[in-house]
Amino acid sequence: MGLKIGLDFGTSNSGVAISDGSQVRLLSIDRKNIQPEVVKTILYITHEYQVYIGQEAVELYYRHNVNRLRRFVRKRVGEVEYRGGDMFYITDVYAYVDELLPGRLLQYLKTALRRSSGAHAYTGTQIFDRFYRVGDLLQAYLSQLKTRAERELGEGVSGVTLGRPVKFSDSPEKDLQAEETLRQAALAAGFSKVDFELEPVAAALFYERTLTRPQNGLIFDFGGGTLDLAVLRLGDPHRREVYASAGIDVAGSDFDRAITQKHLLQHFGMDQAGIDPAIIELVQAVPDWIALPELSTPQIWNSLQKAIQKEIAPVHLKTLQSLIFNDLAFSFYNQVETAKIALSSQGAAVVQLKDQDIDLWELVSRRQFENDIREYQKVVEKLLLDTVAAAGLEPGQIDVVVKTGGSSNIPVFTEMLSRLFGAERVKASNSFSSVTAGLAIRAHERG
Amino acid sequence: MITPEKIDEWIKEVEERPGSAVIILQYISNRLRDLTQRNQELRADNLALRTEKKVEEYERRIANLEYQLDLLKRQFGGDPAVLEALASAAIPVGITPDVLSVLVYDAHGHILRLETDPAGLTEGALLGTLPETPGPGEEPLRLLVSSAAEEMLFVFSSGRVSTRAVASIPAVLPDHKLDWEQASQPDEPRGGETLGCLTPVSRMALSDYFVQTSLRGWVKKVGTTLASSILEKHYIGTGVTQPGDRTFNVVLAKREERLVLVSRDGYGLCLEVQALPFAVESAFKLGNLDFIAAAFITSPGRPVLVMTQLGKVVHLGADYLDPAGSLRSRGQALYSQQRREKGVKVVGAAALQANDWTLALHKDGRLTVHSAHSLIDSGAMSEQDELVGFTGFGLPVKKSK
Repeated sequence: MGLKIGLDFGTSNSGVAISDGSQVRLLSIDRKNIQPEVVKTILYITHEYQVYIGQEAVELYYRHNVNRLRRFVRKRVGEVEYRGGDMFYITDVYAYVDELLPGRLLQYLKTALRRSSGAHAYTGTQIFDRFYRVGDLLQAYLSQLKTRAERELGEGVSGVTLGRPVKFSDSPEKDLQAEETLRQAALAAGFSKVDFELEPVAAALFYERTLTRPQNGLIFDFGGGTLDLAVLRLGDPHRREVYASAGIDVAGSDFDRAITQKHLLQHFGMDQAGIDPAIIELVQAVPDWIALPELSTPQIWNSLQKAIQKEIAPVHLKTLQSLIFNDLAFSFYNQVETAKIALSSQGAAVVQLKDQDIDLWELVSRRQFENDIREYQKVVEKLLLDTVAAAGLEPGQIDVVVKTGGSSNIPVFTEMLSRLFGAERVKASNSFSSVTAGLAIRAHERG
Repeated sequence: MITPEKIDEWIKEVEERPGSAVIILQYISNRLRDLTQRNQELRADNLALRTEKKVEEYERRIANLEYQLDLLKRQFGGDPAVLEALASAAIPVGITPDVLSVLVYDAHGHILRLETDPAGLTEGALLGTLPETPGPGEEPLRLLVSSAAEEMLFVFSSGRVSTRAVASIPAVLPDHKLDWEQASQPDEPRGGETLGCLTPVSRMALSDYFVQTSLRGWVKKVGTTLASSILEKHYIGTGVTQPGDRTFNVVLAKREERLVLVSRDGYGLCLEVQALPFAVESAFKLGNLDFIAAAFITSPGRPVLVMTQLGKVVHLGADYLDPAGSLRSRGQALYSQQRREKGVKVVGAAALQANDWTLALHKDGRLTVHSAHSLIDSGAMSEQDELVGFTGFGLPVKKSK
């Protein structure tokens, strides 16, 4: 019988912890990271199908990819059946494949999980000769986390309490399916006992340890992929009660996209006169982390090259070409995220990307950022009030508001919570570890 | 671009939160410093353009690229379709040359070139007979087979290089009694230098590195991006650091390929080209009297044929020579200690497949061709007499359209 851990599988970051009932130990799961108890939810799969996660994955990706050579070969990828009227025929489908590609970097695995069912589902991705379903990607990541946890603990781990958002999806079926996919991935990764806890409830369990008397608490868990809320009665482990919970898929990655759309697309040729609409479509794909890596094909290179030679916004299009073909997309998204985080503590931040044929510099002020995300602020405020109402409480009856998750540090949201519930009631919990710690407590309680 | 609207936004931020002024000022100052520096660089470039220094540099680069393109065109008979296929798809495309050139050369730069029809190659065919072969203590003769359309890089022990078209080297007829009087000396070694090797370079544009090997197993690589400078300055370097050592070979290689070194005493070493040093370093730890007998480039999975002076073949399977993890390795023994003690020596080696051919120089001066297939099958030369030289060559098949 092995140990049981709590595992927070987050959109941007993950973490692992273990509890013995009195103490919680956050495991140093990524020793290459500045915060070793936090590991980036990033997966790098090499051409030889070696799997790396976290900071190691990032470093390897940079070493292998940035400004590397490419060689495209035309490969048959399958066939398509055409049916229409009295016609029926089958045709082969070819794709250009970069045969020098050393590996694939995958991020936002949790977002992929949320989108893994339904009509326009993201079912998985082809990595060299193998197709990885979303479950396979999750398994690869979780199995690495399990191995690292076992190495840290010095003994086997057999059980896990996994965190999950209040809603993976608005549709109950898709929500169930996403949870089941995550469960199967955890089982395939080698955990024999898998259970779940809502992330905001886990954060509440961690916070509860500091309470001396029962209170009505609102957990505001605002991370990279979702906002999760829970209203609970806390302070007495025997009389805990979740009055209401809610979640929406508005979070950090949406704010990154807002910065890109409002301030950075212009550097790639958006709003420049004379640019072919097909190229404008490419520019519009820049904020999309799934689409951008798929654009590195010989046809797109040629069309950009022709436009550059015609001297239609050549500097902007060269910047776009460099972003796509020098594998700078990951650096670019990182820069945007770093600037967004900086805007929580300072009045301005710069998004800067300097490399071969690219010299992007954009100063974004906090005022601009707050304007960019104004619509989201309204949505969040409405959800807060609705959740408190669904709990049968008035805002004044909330004794404490516990904020956790990276996006909860954005000043406009702290101000919003202070305005609605009173500044003295808003408490900050550890942004990246409170959910992990709460999951460890829950894992120990359930045994 | 910094627009007035953006500046307005920054001012509004400072009006709303005066504390933001410092950080905005810092960011703008840093950017201004970067742009000023860039402006200086651009102005310097502009001046260089106006004084035509840049123009000269670009003209030199263009001339070198044109030269490399010309080499490729010659190699592929000027067929643009072949060039296109070669550049785009990395399909192994070759061309059957009309005439093969067999080159026998010595350290003094004497070259005997024989022409032979590749279609007429037969097992054991005699290409010619040399009057005498070097005796003990003399420099061994070197063998090379290439297309007549090749361009040859002459590498001298002083590090000097020059190029000649193979076709420009006078040829002697095959089946002829060969005489060193017929040999030409297209580039006579200068005082104190010897001819290290001849290297075919027409595929330079398709390769990533020149890999230089010394007799005592020291190696270095030089990027082919420096080809224009090497050819213009006629200098690639000696590739040696130790007294008594000398340039043995220079070969072209792609980054994913491997360098194989085989020593006279029967040791082999395989190294990943990617892992080779740019500075001259000892790669192969040889015995005091041992030296390199063959150095060539191969791809993973290709077998190697090693020939001893008694005509015995050592056929190394695709996986026999593992790439060494580090430099200064002793290599792997290619045959037993007993055979080594009996004086068995290596005269040559090559990465060959069954449909490739080999060229052997016998002690009595005969120059014969043998199919790799028959050597692999029989494990020895049909005639058991002493060899002084051995090399291999392939005849790529023209891809049908």
